[in-house]
Amino acid sequence: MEITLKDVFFSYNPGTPLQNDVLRGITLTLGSNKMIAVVGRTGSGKSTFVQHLNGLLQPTLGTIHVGETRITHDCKKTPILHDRVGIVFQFPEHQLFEDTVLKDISFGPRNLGWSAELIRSKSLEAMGLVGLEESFCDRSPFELSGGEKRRAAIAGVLVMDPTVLILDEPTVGLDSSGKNSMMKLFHDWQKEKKRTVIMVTHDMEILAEYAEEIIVFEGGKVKLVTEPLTLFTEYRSELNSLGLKLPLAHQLVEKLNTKLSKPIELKSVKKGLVFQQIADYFIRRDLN
Amino acid sequence: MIQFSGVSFRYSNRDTIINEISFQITPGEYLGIVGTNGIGKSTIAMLMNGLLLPTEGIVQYKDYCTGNEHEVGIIRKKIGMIFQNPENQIVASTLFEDIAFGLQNVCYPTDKISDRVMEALQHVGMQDYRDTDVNSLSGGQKQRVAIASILAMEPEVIIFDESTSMLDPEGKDQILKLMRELNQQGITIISITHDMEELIETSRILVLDQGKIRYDGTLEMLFEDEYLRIQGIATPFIVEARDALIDRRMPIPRSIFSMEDLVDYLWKLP
Repeated sequence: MEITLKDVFFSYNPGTPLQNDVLRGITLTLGSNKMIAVVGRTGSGKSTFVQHLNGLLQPTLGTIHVGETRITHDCKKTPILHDRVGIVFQFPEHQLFEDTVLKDISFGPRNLGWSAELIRSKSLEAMGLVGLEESFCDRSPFELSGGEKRRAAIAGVLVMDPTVLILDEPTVGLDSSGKNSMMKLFHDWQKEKKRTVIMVTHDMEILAEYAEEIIVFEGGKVKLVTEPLTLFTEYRSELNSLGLKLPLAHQLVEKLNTKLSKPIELKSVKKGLVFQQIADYFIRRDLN
Repeated sequence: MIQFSGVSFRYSNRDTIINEISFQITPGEYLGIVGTNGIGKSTIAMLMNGLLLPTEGIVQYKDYCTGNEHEVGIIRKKIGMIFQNPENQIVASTLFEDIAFGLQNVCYPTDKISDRVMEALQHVGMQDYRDTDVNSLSGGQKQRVAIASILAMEPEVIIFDESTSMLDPEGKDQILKLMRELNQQGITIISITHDMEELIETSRILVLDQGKIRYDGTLEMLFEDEYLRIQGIATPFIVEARDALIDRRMPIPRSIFSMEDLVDYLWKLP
């Protein structure tokens, strides 16, 4: 499913003294079947942008196409997109509300009027995806640990089997093992089902490991659409002014390169491959 | 200065989170507290300044005891806390009002409030924003305002509970720099975080696991010996890089603990 934006502007409280222009003219086509990262400073419009993609917000000006659905400012009713574009907000665990995990996860499907049987099987499948066992079904979501709560909340989005999954800062507040398993979950889901994942993140390490395409926001505009290696090499000098940073493995290579007669030219942004390149450089030098 | 003696804590009807722990913190330390989600790091922080009281044992700050209702007020003035979400810590609409709020609450002389607020704003580098609407600030700036509100109370200890996790890289660097500066000025800093990179400069870390302190020492030592490693505790990047190169048959000593040292070592290789 293709998502395109044409001249999209968005203001909070338009036409009042409190008018706050957040998106200032965005024209963009988002690829599908990819992990796309949306980055930029706090306040650059990232979260407002992603909320346009499932119709939570409507543009003040301009048009958005999500597959066949067209969203403009004069749509009387927000087109129903919630079953195709799922969104996981920051701290999704704060949005749990039912008295059992199963009920919470199946809230969306129940509203769409699926059959009881389908609801149960799909809910159990979603729980499997996030690594919650069947025994969690009848437990209260409020008795779960922080990590489990977040998994339950994410299952409630995955159960709708969205074509596009939006993640707003998915790993904030998780410990390192929680962070890694969460990212692996999204990565595997995306690859296996060939879906599109759009994640807003400040974490350069996650960006380097997982993103295939990067959209850089600045002052409500799209400053750049690129892929990670290009961002960290060709746009190196602009990173700071965009509120971004070099991932640690790149920082190491950069420091090393200032001392080496022949610099290491990175071929990947993934940590493991960067370490491999460093090792190869020195081992090969020994052989020569 | 802060002393835990045989402290246990459980929330009513729940399992024990903190199980008979004892330790002390000396003035001027830069202490990190780490552990997996839900292990009780924030509970320890709240026990320190009396937001929670121990189920058993005693928590003291100097000669004051958090269990004593007359003394807990003094403790809270001296031990400030900064939380995760910058949005949740600001109470007024301008920076000035926000910082003055705390002072007004402790009946600070009205004619001196203005000077004290400006001093605090200067301390965090936000003096030019005195009458700014707090909503127009970035996350990092909001956290600096929250820190200024605490500095106005002249604290001796500041606890940062995941205070950088919601910030962009720039905001994060601002706060970490400020934490270092405050520590150099003699304020005891306690940092609760999952990000090991933030702890590289600590003088000591406590690792919590199953209600106990599993490790109390420097970060460097924890990662020098492979067998000391604790499940769920992230490996700092430098250790990961060093070990990855060792695995690829490079002769890197395990004592290397900074990027500069690693670079130095590598380029001097024959």
